[in-house]
Amino acid sequence: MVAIRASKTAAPHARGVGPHSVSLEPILPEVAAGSPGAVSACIGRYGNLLWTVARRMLPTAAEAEDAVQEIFVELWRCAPGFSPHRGSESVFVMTLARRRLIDRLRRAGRRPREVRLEEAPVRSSEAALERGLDAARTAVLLESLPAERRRVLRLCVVEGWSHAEAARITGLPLGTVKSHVQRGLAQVRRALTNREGVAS
Amino acid sequence: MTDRAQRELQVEQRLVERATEGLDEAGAEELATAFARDPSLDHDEFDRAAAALALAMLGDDEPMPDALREQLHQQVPPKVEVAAAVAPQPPASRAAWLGWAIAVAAVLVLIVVELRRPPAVVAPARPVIVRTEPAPTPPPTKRAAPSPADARQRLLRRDPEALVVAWADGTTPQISGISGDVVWSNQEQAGFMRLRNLPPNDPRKDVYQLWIFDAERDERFPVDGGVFSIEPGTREAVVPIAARLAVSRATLFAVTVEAPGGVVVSDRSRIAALAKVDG
Repeated sequence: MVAIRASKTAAPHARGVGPHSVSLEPILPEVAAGSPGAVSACIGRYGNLLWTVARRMLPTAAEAEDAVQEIFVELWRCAPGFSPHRGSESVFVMTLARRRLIDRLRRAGRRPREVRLEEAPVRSSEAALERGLDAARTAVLLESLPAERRRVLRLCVVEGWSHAEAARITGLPLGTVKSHVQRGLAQVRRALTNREGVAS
Repeated sequence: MTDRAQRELQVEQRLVERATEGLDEAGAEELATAFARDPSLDHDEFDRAAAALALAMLGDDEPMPDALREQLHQQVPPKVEVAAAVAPQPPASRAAWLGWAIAVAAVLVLIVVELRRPPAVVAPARPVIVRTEPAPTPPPTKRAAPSPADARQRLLRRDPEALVVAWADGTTPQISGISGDVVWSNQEQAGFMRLRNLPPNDPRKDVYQLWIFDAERDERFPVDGGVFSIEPGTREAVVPIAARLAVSRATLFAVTVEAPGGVVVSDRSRIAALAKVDG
């Protein structure tokens, strides 16, 4: 289990605090301030991540390319609105990206896509830590969730399926899918709300 | 279950839906009403939770294609200009962005009352205003550039499908009797505002800023249409629109009063004029 320490004052709620620490200096304030090289560094830091999530949620590479460009344009525009007091920078970036991707899916009428047969494991908290402390805390929380809820969350949050589509894929009643999504997100929300002084 | 508890549950359901599969217009309106009713609501908490989940569950990063990376570097705007006075931005207070939510909710109510039908936009939860570079100066030519009024007429002739939408008063009591129209060409992604009775502003004290709400964009992030000023003695101003992003289907144009020097985060308290697109 990785130890998560954001700062001397942070009181992380993930299990275990040990010798490791992580420092992911936010880059968006630099982008907002127009610092030389900040935009390139931002593309370097988040380009692969945004490409990965776009490929996961959209049916074709061409659409993913369009979406990633759109997301970065939005990111330049919204960079000044990032506040480390409201969550990790990676969460800010992913929130913005998911909104754009969900918009695209809705516009496209949620075209059917291939359902992935293999279930990728939840990232270990060590691996999730590379994506920020909020991701690491969420990874720790996920370990305690029932497998069925994790699967529904994966379909609806990571793959971009609607609740109805997830019900069809899993064979679960729609009400059960909605309940898993709502409770799962509420659990994550509580875990993130309990964070203190985290600024990465 | 009490009515209040029932309402809270419904709001939570809508927030979860928005964070996972998006909302239709009815759901978005329901949320806007809830935000107006309860200013303590956190608009984005489920969006952030979903983002954290995606970060934790998404597999290893796949390398972005080199061609896309190259394209991204090329399309970076020459300069995303942010006033030094406002960057780095202090943490946006809940009151500030909820103030915007309430203000826009009030606008929505006005639209409902005036037009007798529900609006298609929702309050921006955390809108951010980035000043854009001034429009590039056209190369010098021997022929004089057309005036904005002439350019507006030419645009109307070139694109018969261009939207023409009448201005109405906003929510700022000191600014009333606004008339004129917005011309917007989706085809050319260009347009003009014709404004009468918009009071002159002192650019050292405040400026006007246009926002374009797009049906196909996240309703919380209207497109920045540019900053402008009205000089004293102007009876009718014709102002070119400088949309920062592509607009797919404009649903509402709003002019706000903002701080000088380019506001990065608006206090969203002064809406000077509104033009609602029918249909």
